[in-house]
Amino acid sequence: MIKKIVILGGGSAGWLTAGLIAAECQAVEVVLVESPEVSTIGVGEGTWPTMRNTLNKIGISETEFIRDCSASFKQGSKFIGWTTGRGDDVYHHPFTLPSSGTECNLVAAWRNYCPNVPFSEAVSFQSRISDLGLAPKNIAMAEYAGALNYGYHLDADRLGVLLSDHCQRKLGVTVIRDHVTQVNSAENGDVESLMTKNSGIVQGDLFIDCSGGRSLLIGQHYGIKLIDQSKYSVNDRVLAARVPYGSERPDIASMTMATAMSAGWIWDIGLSTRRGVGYVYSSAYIDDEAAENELREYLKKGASHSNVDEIELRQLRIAAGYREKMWVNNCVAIGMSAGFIEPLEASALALVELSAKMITNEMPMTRKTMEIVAQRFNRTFRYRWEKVVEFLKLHYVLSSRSDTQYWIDARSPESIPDGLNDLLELWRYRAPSSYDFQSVEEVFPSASYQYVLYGMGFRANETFGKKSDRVEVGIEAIKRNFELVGKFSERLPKNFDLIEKIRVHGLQKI
Amino acid sequence: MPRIELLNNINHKNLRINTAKKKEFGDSVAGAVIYPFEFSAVHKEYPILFQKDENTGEFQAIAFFGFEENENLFLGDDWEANYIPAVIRREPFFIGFQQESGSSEPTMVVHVDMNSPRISTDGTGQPVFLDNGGNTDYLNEVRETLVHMHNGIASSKQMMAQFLDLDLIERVTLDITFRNEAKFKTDMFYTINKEKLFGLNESAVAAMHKSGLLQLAYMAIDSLSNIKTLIKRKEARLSRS
Repeated sequence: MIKKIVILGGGSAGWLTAGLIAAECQAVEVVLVESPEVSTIGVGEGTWPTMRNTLNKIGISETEFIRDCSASFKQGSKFIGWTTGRGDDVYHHPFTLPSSGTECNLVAAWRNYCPNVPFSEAVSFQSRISDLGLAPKNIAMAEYAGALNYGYHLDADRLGVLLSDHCQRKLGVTVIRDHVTQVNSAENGDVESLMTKNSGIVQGDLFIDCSGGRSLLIGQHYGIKLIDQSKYSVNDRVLAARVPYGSERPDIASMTMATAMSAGWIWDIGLSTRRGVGYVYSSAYIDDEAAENELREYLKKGASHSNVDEIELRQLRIAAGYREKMWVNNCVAIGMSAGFIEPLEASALALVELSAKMITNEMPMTRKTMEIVAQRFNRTFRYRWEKVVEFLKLHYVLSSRSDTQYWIDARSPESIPDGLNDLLELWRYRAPSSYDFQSVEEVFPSASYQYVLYGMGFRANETFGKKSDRVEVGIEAIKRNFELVGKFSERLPKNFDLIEKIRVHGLQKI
Repeated sequence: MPRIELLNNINHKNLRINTAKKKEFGDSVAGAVIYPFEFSAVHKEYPILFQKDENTGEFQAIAFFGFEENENLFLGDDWEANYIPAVIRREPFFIGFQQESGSSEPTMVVHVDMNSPRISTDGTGQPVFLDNGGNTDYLNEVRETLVHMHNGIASSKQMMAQFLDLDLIERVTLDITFRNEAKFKTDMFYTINKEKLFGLNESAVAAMHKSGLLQLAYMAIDSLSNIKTLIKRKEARLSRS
């Protein structure tokens, strides 16, 4: 029986994994080895709505989390300039799924009833609520409950501190602050133990590699290759900045803003205490200096800060790819040690949550059943990575921008994964449906594809309707959405005001 | 708009207050915030439920007089009950504190809302000050009530915090069909979960008994039988109209 799990790495991935496993499997001893010599990457500031369930499971109160991690509420992503690059080029990918109440084809209803209204506005009231800068809940709603679906914008370093503290005090996770100097193997190829500089040998039954880009166990020890995805995802540089708000009571954005640039895109994330902004670009199309100029120009337009030229920038190199296998012998990679892709849909932490969840679901586990679990894990996560790559690519292939070579090349046929090509062909005649995505816990539901597809003005061919479309039902649902905007905008506070109230009064548990 | 003034025996020498309970004095209210010191009197008359303050999300205890906004089923020619909550009785006065120079302790002062319908304009009602400028017994009672309420805010917070810590609060759905088929349904309110209260271990019960919390919990549970009284009053009104 697997009784002791050793997690290598104390970033967001390591601590989330430790928290989820320790909270769910109390009979298992969890040890986390964190190097005092290695600093965490500390970006990755956007989460999915799944984070609410994750934090709740770990046993962290939402009040504490919001106060400690500079967190704000994220209701989705807003894409600016991705389709045409003109002034009115904006679409939303909200977290709240299209709602019809009963089965019907909302896409058909939208085309029929209000084709000139943006798709996301017709099928969900969240884009309008987000554009008004409103929070997804009010102070009288319980922790982790919302009137609209939401995730968070957060300070990843502070999340690490909060999780580390909670895991040690409440969940009995042991931390060894030491550097791993050697990996000791058993005869069957398993990792038997880790040798540390000052704390001796750390033995375990299952080792989880959360060592980040260095991928100490899966990459370096087992030599599992990265499957390069740079053909589909060309961005290889990040310039990141922490930007102070210009006001004491800032208007905090409800969505991650993703603005298309000449050779990539800029993320703009509103935390409660500052913004996190970063330019993700391809060095093949723009040099670092020109990228920095574009980023500073962007920051000046935001005009929230007077001394834009003094804001410090951090550069990171990134490469899209994932390991051929995430699980080998008694060792599994979670987080950047398993793979990396640009943060366009904030999939990084979501994949961490899914990975830890799958491990806890498969517990209790023996060394023998681990072989089966490993195969399933590898199959599942390879599929999930493929889907993430495809879904991110979708944001580029529908663009008609031709102002730079970057955007022209971004939709060249050889840069599009086959799976995505097939789907795009099918979607010329019908809307994306759950039949296109049949795995349990798909990373992105068909609704996400619809939001991007129709948000970017994808034109389907003239076809015929079907009886099951039930267009009238869909039209009623769309009308209800329009009404709900008014109703909810009266009841929901601004993000800053809610966060302020949470700081003072806290949210109730019930 | 309220017009709040600091009460004194010069400007308000002739002030009289309409203490009768009438619709025109603002008594058509469906409920009022109550404090722990009132539970023993309140629970014999009205249902006590808990509700979140919409500005802070914090729980507070409420006594109910009606089902709809501005419906007070106890209000006829007079307020037909043996106890009226402090929040209503102290009207139109408010408590305030003033820091006087040379004194370290702030002193309590009384404010009055001169735009309240309770301000008498026809020479009837209760006088606030005696002819010699001293307080009337009425004003002294009001002052006492204001002090109780002021202390009640803290004891209310403490009570709710302990109920929540012990996981005793649960949401309740009220789903009532009156005799004329009219319906009332809400899940805005909370109450004490009886099973959880009974399931507490001995040391928790002993601690609750000592602090008085146990009695408050039982009174809140006991008060729920008054919902039936409230329904009867509602139906009596419905059959009259």
